[in-house]
Amino acid sequence: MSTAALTLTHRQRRAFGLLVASEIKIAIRRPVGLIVAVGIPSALLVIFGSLPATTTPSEKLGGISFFNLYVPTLLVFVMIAVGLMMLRASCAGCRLRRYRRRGSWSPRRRSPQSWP
Amino acid sequence: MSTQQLIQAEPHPSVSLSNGPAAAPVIEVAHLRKQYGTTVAVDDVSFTVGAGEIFGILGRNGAGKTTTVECITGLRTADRGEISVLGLDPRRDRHELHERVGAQLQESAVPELMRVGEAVELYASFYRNPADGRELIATLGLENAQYTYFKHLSGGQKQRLSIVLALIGQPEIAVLDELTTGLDPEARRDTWRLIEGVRARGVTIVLVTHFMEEAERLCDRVALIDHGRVAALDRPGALAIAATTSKRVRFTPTESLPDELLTALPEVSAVEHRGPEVVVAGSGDLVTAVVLALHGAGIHAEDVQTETANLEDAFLALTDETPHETNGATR
Repeated sequence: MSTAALTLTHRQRRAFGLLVASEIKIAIRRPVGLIVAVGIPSALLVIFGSLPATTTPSEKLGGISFFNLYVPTLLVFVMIAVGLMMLRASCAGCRLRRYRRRGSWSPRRRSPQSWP
Repeated sequence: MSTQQLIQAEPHPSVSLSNGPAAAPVIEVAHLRKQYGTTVAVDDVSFTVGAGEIFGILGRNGAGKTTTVECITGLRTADRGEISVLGLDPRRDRHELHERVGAQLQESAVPELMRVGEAVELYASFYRNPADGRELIATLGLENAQYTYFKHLSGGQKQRLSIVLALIGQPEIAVLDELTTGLDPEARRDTWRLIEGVRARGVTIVLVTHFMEEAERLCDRVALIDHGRVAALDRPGALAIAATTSKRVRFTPTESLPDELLTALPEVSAVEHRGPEVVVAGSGDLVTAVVLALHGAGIHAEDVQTETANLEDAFLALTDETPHETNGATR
């Protein structure tokens, strides 16, 4: 079962690619989500990064700066958190707006995304 | 009753007299039942659809049409009954079924900011042997809207896109649910022509509708569903004849007229006033009886019209509804 799910046919790869591509296009066409998720954190990063205290190496932190220590860690956390929240919201939105209903009559393999 | 049987017994050379399909069945539904909580959506529905026919499923809102169709296409599991579509079990062989059955759904949509061409390309990629998307878009007159966002399409264009998506997988059966609801009369007629064109490609069509005119114009056979049961199943013309032994005469009297004058006649079963117009229902030689009665009372009748039975009359007779609710309906 697990191998069947992992071995994609050419058709499935193409369909998946198109699905991802169209989701990216739709996201770009409605940029508010991108601005909030990427733009605002980046701007805050620049502001905080310009404070000398965050970029000065500290002995207490093992000789690296506060920024160098925390930003990579936080980046991973933020990406996971935003991803999880957005996925949930976008799944609910697709269901609410009946996109999933349209999709459910197409021969797509059953995946967590197409659970009723 | 005897005339009715006579008319029904006249065999049309190309149409079989039984109400079964002329060709080999592609959809077989037997004793379908589906319940949501305590609400019985579909009680007992059975029918078969032959290859290449346009089969109408007709009924008022909430009669169980959409649920029936959803069970046929494997979107819902029936509580009871057997369904076979192209020899497949809709629930177990859902994936294979969706390769071979296309559907236009009530209240379904594609994302607002997706362009027509993108939607068609994406959906085409889901199928084994997709149709040529460009050609299909051109056939349905959407080539000028190819780069238009879904949200900017008109109602008619959205429906046409819906048909494109239903046909993109080159299906053997197309299920079209309330295709023309919300369209203006011209767009509706255009859609009817499209459906006839689709059938000409050899696709079997299951058409769910509550427009009598649509069923009458397009369908080879019609199943009338009422309260989750098949109230009647036949050719639209045969249904109309079978259900309406009564005739109707409508006229505008020059002066007000007491109902008793007409209800006293043995031929008359009901008298109804619609504004200045009087509608008389009955049987036998209704027109002569009414005209003579009016003449005897010294009342002149203008605009005398007789109405022939159509599917709408059959629908109302079979679903047991009072006629005044049809005011304003298409005739």
